[in-house]
Amino acid sequence: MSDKKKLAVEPNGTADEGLSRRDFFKTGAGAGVIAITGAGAAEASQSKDAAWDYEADVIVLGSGCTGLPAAIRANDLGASVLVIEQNSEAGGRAQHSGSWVSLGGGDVVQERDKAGDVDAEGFITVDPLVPAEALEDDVELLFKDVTDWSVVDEQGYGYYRFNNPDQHRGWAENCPPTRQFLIDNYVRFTRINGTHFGGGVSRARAASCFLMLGGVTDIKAGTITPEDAGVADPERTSAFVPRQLSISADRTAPNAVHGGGAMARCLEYSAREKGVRFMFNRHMDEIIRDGDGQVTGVVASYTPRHDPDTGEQLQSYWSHGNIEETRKTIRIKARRGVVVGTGGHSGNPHFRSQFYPRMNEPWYPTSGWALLGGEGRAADASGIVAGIKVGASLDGLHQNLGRRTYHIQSRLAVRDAYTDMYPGHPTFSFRKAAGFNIGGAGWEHLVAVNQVGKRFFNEMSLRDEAIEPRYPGGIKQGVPNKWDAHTPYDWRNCRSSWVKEMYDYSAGVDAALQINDGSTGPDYFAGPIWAIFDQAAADRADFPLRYPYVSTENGCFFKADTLEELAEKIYFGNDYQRMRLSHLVETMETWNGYVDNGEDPDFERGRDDAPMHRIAQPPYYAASIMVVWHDSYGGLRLNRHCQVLDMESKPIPGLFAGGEASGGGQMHGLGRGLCHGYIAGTNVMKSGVVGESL
Amino acid sequence: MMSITISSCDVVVSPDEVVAGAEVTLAGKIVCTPAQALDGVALLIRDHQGDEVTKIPVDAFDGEENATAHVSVRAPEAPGNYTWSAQLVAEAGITNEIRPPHEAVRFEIAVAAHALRLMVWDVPSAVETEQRFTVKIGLKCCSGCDMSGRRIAILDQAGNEAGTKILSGAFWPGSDGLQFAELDLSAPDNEDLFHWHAFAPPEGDDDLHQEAKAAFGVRAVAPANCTVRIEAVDKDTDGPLPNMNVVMHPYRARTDANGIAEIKVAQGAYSVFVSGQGYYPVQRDLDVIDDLVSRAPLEAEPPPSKDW
Repeated sequence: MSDKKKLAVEPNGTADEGLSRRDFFKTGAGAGVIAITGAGAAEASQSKDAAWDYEADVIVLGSGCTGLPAAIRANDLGASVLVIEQNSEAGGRAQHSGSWVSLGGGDVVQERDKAGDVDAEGFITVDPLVPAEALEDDVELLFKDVTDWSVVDEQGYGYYRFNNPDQHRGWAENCPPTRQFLIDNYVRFTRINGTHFGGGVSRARAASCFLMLGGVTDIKAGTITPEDAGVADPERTSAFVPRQLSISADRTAPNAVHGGGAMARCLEYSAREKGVRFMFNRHMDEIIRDGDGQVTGVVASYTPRHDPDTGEQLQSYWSHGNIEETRKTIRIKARRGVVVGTGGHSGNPHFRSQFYPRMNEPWYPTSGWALLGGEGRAADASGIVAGIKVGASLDGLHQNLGRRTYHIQSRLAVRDAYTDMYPGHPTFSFRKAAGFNIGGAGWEHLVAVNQVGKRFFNEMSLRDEAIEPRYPGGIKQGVPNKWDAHTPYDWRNCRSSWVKEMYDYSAGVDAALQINDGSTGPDYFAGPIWAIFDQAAADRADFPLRYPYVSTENGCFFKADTLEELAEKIYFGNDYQRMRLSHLVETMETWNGYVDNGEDPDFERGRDDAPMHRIAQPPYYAASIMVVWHDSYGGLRLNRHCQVLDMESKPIPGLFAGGEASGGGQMHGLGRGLCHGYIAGTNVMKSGVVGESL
Repeated sequence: MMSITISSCDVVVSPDEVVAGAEVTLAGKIVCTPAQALDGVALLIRDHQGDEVTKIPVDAFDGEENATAHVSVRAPEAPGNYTWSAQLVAEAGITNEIRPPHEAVRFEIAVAAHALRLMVWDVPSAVETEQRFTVKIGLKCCSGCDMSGRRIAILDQAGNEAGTKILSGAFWPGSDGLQFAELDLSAPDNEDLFHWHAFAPPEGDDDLHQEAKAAFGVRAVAPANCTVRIEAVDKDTDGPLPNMNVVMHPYRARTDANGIAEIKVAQGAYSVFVSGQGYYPVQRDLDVIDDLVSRAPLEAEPPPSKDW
């Protein structure tokens, strides 16, 4: 007997109907319930299909900022769509984003703000935030901006120079329809107040996504309760949004909130309402390409998440449209195509160390580590690797070495240091603490030591605030001219005298990652780095050394009466602390001597950066300082249709991708992924069959 | 009956050196011919006096070597090197004959004295020559022994005793067993940075604890004859900034509720820092020849952006 399963629709479903578009409408948009028939009833009528456990027109891999729009768009165009998500929840990293969506090209939000209009629902009460001239945009200017070879960033890197032109032509042309598409799917945009990294210098193009505070959370009405928004209690988030939304008074209205949850939940809601199906806890392991070269489906494995404290399995917030499937491995057929929206590779030390060998240290995670699922599943390069295995080529690999990919965080005492998260979200227990943000000033109260307890850099320069060349331009953005005087493709933008003038790169993160006294071959792991401070520092700087900001259970925060005890607690309390911090006591004695002398001959602290302080009053503290590789660049090579290209630059039939799974674009954030999703969702129904072309 | 020859029997002691009275982990590795699982066999551990300590059963066989469980026992209470023994014994009912009759193997346990951790804090960053000042000292035994009654001495740069105190048993607030005391001391009579030590000397017949030393600096400065008034304000709002750190090395102060810090200093050239949470630090050079007032406008750091 075959173990094949197919979807059927109650009450009239039969095993062989499969996952049809009609089924989705009957079950998703209506009140119907999807049933999964038993193995015996699911016998295939055609032997060639015998290996498939599920099938749909379009399989979307991942439910983040690429996957959700791709799924909705394909569904809108008549496809049955199944979204495979390794996590227990939809939204991917978009959930914890700031929701700043940079598009442009004359999109409807630019036009709205340019005209001084408000949104259709009349929620916005603040006036436009940028001059109308800064919103005078078109596709040609947008395309030129995002392929502007002449602009370099503060480390002298050609920020837009290496962007794939064809991919970005398609991106620019699709920005205006993507903005409208998002609005049509319950996403509400604030006033435009800038342009995101990689979105160009010449115009303002980014707006956040908002909801209005109200007595009930109602996506259709555009409201959310303060509790769901995470603004009712400064030390709580909610199951609805993993990261507290921001009060949006500056860009929307006094009672509005914006943030990733206000975008991801709206798209998820729309997808479910329209009948897109979701299979959570399911990791794509392999893309299947048949003998004709057509991508025909995927192999996916079961990856449930369990609360590390209670053992309880995590569930998605909404269940409407979910397919519960617990078999270890299944094969899913894609009749038209597969869209790869699996995210990047910043959580995969093996993959990312291809670009920066020192990032092989597994202690350093990707951002959203707790939210996305921890080791081996968050931004794990799975889509890229699976694409490579079916013949895909890669693009933009070196763009990882541009700015904003890996950096030292000022949030201490938590591994997931890129963002905060408070109790109330189911994944908080994976991080166990929000961590505490010491900003720039807090570094003067501590010394930073490596895995053997030695200092390695001037602590005041460890955190580096990157500057990206984007609107509004000018010196603050590392661009010689402001947006209204900026000329794309003008060689003067990278005149060497200018580059020398504005070059400003602190190698603190690089020093943190380098070989040290504890590194041994062949991996030469750098190991964790620790902020060491005393009670006097905690009092001076008012560090919140209490729950939920710190926890002694997450391997990231320790307290002891003596430095020797502290070193032992770190050694036994952190899995990646592979050796004792044998130099810690001596390091602190040396430091206190430097403070007494008023100079730091090792790293020149205290000259012109900040005062130095003795670290001597017990108890002593150690808090993790994290290098976080946030977003990654470099991935599957795309054309303008978001088709994945093979080694001969030809589209692989049936394979589409976008967002961080794709390469060739030095563009951060949602604008890239959302637009790619829209493009891929559009084209997966137009093509995807061997012999067809777009 | 099958004969088994013991080729080797070793006991692994962890850690290599154990603190007196602390737990030490023992584990046995036994190789025999023919190689086979020594089910029902145990290692009988005897201490340096021949007293039975524990019996550790063999519980694993990897095809070549038998291994016992890891068992924690208490190390001797006095520092020194001890020779213990381990002998293979068969439990009742085991019919295999171990040949030759296995003799006890000897192994060493190195027992160290308890380490004492001595600390000095709240040392003034600058003390006028020959003036009195206080410091806090703390002492903790790594094994948690009561340190009350223990004498702490302060030794000046020349090694002379500058002060002494007997620990009363008072615990430092917020600590987990750190005993502390406050000492009243006199600064040297000339200006300089002096390297002093706190010292917990060995006591009488207590060979259980090591002595301990902790270094600290004493900065003796000329008598202050000027007052520097620092007014910390927000650069944008002009509002006062309380709790800002003001450091004119070696002098230190914090601004009060009105954003003001007054520091009495000796005449001289200083690099002045004003810093505090949420603000970019400012630094300027000041030549102090008389009382002076300096306004320090600080620029606020932008709050962490949540746009990304």
